[in-house]
Amino acid sequence: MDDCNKFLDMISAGVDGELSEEDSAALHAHLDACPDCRRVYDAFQCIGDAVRDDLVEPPELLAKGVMHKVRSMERGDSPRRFAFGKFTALAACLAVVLFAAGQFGLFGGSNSAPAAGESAKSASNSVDTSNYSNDSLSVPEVALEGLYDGSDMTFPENDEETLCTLGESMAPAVAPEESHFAIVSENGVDVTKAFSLPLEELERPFPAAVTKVAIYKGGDLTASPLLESGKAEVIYLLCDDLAMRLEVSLDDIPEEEPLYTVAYTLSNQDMLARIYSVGNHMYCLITTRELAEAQARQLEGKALLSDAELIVPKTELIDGEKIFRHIFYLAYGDADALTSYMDDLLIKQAGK
Amino acid sequence: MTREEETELITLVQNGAASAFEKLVLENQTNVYNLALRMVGDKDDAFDMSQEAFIKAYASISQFRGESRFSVWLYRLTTNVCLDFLRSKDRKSHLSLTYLDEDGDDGKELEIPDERFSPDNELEKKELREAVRRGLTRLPRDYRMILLLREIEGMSYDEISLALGLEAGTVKSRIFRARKKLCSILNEDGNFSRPLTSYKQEKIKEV
Repeated sequence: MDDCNKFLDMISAGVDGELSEEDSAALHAHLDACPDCRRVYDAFQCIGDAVRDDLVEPPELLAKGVMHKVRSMERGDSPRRFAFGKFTALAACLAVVLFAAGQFGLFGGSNSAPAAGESAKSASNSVDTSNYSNDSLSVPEVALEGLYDGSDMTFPENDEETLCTLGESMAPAVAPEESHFAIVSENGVDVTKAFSLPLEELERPFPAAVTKVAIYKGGDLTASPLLESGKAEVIYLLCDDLAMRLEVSLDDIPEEEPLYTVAYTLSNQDMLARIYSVGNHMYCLITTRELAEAQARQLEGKALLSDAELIVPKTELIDGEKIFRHIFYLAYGDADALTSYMDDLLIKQAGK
Repeated sequence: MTREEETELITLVQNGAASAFEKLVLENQTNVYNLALRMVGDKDDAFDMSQEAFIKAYASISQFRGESRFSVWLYRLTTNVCLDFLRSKDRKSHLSLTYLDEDGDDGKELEIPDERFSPDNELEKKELREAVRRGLTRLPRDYRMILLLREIEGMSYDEISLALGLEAGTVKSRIFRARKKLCSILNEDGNFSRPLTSYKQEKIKEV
C-alpha cells in the first residue's frame, strides 16, 4: 500500500503510454503486485476501449453536405444561407406582391390556368382580387433590385395598367411570357425570373387563397410570426438564400400527397409541416396541427394523420428549429438529400 | 492515408482544388463526428457541428501550415465549434456554467471501479459502452473534451497541449482527473454497477 499514492498518479499517463520507460517499468511492477491499482489501470483502459468501440458511422449526408457547401463557396456564393436563429427574418424581409393569373386555378388545382400567351386583359379579368387588400400586403422596406446584380432579371414589357404598385388598387398583374405566376416588386418590376422559380412546375397543389407574400433573404424561417387563426403558411425556397413565405387560407387541401409530414413544436404549439417537392425545389405547407386535423376531418371524415403515421411520435415531437434546419439548410436544392435524410429519420424512428 | 498523401491533398485544396477536400472529409469524418457527438450529446447537433468544423477547416485551410497532423488541427476546430455551441446553449437556457477548479479536484478520493471494468469481461461490454456514453454526458465539458481527444482521436499529450493551449503537466493531470471523475460517475450509475461494497471502500481509504 505504501506506493499506491505515487503510482495512482502515474496510472493514467501509463495507460496513455506517456511515461518514461523507467517509470513505466516501475508502474507495471507495482500493478503486478497490487490488485487495487491494477483495477484502476484496467478501468482506465476499459473506458478508453469502450469509447473507441462505441464509434458510430457518420451520416452519409455529412460529407455530401460539406462538399455541397464547399462547392458553393468555391463558386463564390455566400456561405451563409438561412442562418436559423441567428437573425430575425422580419428584419430581412422584403415584401413583394404575388399575382397569379386565372382565378388562382393553379393553386386550387381544379381550375386550369390560362393558356400561355393569353392576353393580359382576359387574364386580368379572370383574377379574383377579393383575396387581396391593402392591409394584407406587407409594405416593402427594401427595393428588390438592390439584392441582385440584375444579370438574371428580366424586365418584361409589361403594360403599365396590368402591373400593380402598392397603394394603388389591387389591379391584377399578368405574369410575363408563358408563366402563370409572377412576383412583382414594389415598383412594378417583374422579378420572377430573378428567383429562378420553376415556373413550369408551379401548377402544384398550393392552397387556394394566398393572402400575403413575403420574400426572405436569410433570416430565421422558424421564427414565424404566429399564424393567424385559419391561416396556414407555405414556405417556398427560391434560391440559395431566398425563401418565399406565403400566407394562405387553407380552403383546399392539396390534392397531392406530401412527401413527408413532420410534426414538431413551435412556441409550445403542435405544428405540422407538409413537405412537397417541386423538381429540385421544396416547399413546406405549415399549419398548426389542430387546424390541419380539423380540416381533414371535415373534408374526409378522418384524421389527417393517425399517430401511427407520424414520422415523429407525438411524445418525441422534435424541435421545430432543428427540423427546419435540416430541411432547408441541408437539403435545399437537393431533393435526393432531403429524401435520404428523411428516410434516415424514418428508419431511426422505426428502429426505436 | 499516409502523411504524404494528406499533405498532397491539403496542398491541392490550398491551391484551389476544392474537390480534393472531399477525401480529407471522408478520411476524418468518423472521428470528427464522434468527437462532436460525444461533446454535444445529440446526433443532429453533432451533424451540424461536424459540418461547421469541416467548413471552417476548408475556409481557413490556407492557414494550415502543417506544424501538426491535419487531424489534430481539425479536432481543435471541432472542439471549438462544439464549445461555442454548448456555451450558446448555456446562455439560452440560462444554465450556470460549470467551471473546473484546476486545483480543487473536487476533493474526492479515487474510487476503485467495479469489477465489471475488467478487460476480460466480454458479457458486460455492451453495458459498459452504454454506461461510459452516459457517463461522458455528465462529465464537465473540459474533462469530456480532453478525454475524447485522447481516447477517440488518440492524440498525444503534446498534441493535446498544443491543440488546447495547455501546459503539458495540466494535460496529464486533467486527463487523470477526467478518468477519476468518470469512474466515480460510473460507480454512481445505478444502471450500471452495484455500489461498492463496504470492504472495498475501506480499502480505498487505506490507499
